[in-house]
Amino acid sequence: MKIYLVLLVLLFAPVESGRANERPPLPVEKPAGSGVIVHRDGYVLTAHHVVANAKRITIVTSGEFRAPAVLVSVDAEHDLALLKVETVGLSEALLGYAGAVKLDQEVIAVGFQFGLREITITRGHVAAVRTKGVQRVFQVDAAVNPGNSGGPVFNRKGEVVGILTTKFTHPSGIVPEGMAFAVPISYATPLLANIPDFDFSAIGRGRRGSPKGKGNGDLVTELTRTSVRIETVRMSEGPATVIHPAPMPPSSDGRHSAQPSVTRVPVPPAPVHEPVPLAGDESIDRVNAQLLASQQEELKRFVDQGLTPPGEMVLIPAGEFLMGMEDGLPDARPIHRLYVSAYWIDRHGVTNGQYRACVEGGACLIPKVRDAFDDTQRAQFPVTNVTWSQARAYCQWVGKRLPTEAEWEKAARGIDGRRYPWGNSDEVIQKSRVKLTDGNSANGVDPLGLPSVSASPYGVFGMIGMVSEWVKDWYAEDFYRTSPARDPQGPLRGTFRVLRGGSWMERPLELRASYRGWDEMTYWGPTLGFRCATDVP
Amino acid sequence: MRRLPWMLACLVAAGWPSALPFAWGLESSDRSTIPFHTILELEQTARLLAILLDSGRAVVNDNQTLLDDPTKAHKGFTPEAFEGQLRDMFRGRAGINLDELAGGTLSPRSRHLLQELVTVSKQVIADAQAELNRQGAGFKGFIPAVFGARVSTRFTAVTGVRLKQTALDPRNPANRPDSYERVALEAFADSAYPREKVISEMAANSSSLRLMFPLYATRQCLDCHGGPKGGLDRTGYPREGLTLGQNAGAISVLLPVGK
Repeated sequence: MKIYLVLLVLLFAPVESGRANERPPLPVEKPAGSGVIVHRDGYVLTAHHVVANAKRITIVTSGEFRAPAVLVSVDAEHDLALLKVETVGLSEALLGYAGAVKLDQEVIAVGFQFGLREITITRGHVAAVRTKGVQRVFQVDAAVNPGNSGGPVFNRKGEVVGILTTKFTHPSGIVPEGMAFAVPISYATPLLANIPDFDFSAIGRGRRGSPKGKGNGDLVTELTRTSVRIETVRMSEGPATVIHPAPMPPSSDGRHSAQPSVTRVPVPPAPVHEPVPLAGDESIDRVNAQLLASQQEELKRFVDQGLTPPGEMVLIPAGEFLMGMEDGLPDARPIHRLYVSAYWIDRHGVTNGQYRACVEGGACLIPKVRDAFDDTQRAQFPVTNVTWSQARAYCQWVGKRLPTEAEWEKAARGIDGRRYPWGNSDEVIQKSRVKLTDGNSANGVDPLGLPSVSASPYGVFGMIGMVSEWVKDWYAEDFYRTSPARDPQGPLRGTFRVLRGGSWMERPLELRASYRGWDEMTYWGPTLGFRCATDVP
Repeated sequence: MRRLPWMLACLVAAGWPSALPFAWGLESSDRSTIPFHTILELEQTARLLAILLDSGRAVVNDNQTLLDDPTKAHKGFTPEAFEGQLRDMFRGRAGINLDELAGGTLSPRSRHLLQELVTVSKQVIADAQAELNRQGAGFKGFIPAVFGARVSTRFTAVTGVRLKQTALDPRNPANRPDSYERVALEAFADSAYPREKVISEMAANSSSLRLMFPLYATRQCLDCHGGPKGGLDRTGYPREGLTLGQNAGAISVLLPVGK
């Protein structure tokens, strides 16, 4: 009952405060920041941190028009968010071309400082351009205060060139007095692409058909009319509903490929909020049956097209799967949902015998340590002591490629976020270890075909319990936080390459299908091998 | 007192670049007005130079066992062999083929500087041949850091662009960080800092772009800089106790912005 009362208060308080001219004695909605109208149909651009974790968002224009807003799209990495209000005919701000912003040029910051009703307009200069990690900002020496967050920074023509952010931390951790940071407006392009028929060609062109000789007063009026105050009701857990979870660039006309400077802006993978419960055996069996059925269906379609399945490879159908693990190591967080196109992956890791053929064909260099390689008894054992480049050379030689990290993980654990290829039971590891120490496999490498116990739900063998396998991607511990939601290819660059899987003798945590190993690409070792993958045409 | 020459060297190496922009700001009323897109280009140039220098370091790192082999006289680590490996390494790390720069999107200045850095790197390898091919000697002290320092000195002399390998507590006092570098190095040292991402700054009252490119410890680095912390390495220095993949300093680039 109490809850209903609170809700009623929440519903009515803003309306009343909107009518009254004085500030309400007990504001229910907290002033959070500022924003700017970027399209007359109710689209407002602001900083992501202003609306993060907001249960309700309200925008208030300088004319005291007040309306609830929904989150259309966010880019947490660059601290930007696009909101929508159900209305039409708002005064929209002109957008400028960020690339033309010059060092030391005059800029104007507009916002509702401290959430006050009065709008403040402060002048300053672009004092520096700074990059730190994934963020790049204009440093502006205008006097701004907390309520300015998310508010626009205009150039002298009255075009928005940046959005004020507080998320950027000066490398020294100290922000000098009178200093503010603004995200260049160019980073908002993927968000703006969510607005139907948004006219990107108008950026930097000024107001069409407007006389040049505008008075300063007109400029101030215009800046004021297009800026808004943003109020939020926060909740302690979970963010506001996003109606379009991913800021998808327009794809129909291929425009997204023409935006090289922003293509790295991530389409954030859908984070999985509710904890994924570890499934029991029954559920594992059910999912396995589903996966095999979808695999058979896909295979049939493939054969119906008159194509021949490649030998000793397993078809992984297109679709979503859960990658990463919440209760694992930090670099495997967050668990996130990804779409991966269909591909083939080797049923077993590449063997000494197979690799020998490539060496004899002149396309591969012999393994860095050749004892196992030269042992004819071990022709069917996985090839080891190869570097990343040797692994890649072999796959190219057989007309394939290394799998991506996402492809490896999907082939190993299926779609349901299970811990191991076989399910969630740790027992398999204990039993396999006992077997291994009983047997005569000195370096923790089993001959191929043995560990059928660790077969993945798709029927891929030896992903856990054999050797660590090189995959295509560079390693970055934070990659999952910014990974694209579709066919991720890993970071653009790096120093280390990812290794997946491992022998039974690795630590239990490292035997999970989500475990991310890595090493220098020039490194080799007795437990380092690989397998190949190839695209489905 | 024995330290005085080192301290002077440190002042010369680290002191003047930070003092210079300050003087500029006071004397010149004509402050720079460089557009954002040009700054992005400059930043890319500085980043690529850092990656190229580090690629050269990585090639030396990969050949360390060969270079330290006392049984071989002619090691075949010729400037040409080095260049081939350098180009491969750079293509892998930066995604840019140095043989196809002409058709690419890089600015002419960027192309020129990259080519100059390849030339200088080869010269350093060429000049080191006698030293490297000395038979009977094992460890000759020709390591990535030494290679990097020699290349940097020459490159600055030729182009005016300063490259410097620095760390919070460097072994060579000439590599001690200035205040800007220290702040960036402290950010890199935070394990939550995103891997391989640079820190850079182009200020309105400055005449140069500054960029810091983080470096990470490889296995070869750990031979001397790994654990146990405080134990002496083969050169007699106390070990830093680094672990594989840990941040191990940065390459600092100071790119003057010409008038």
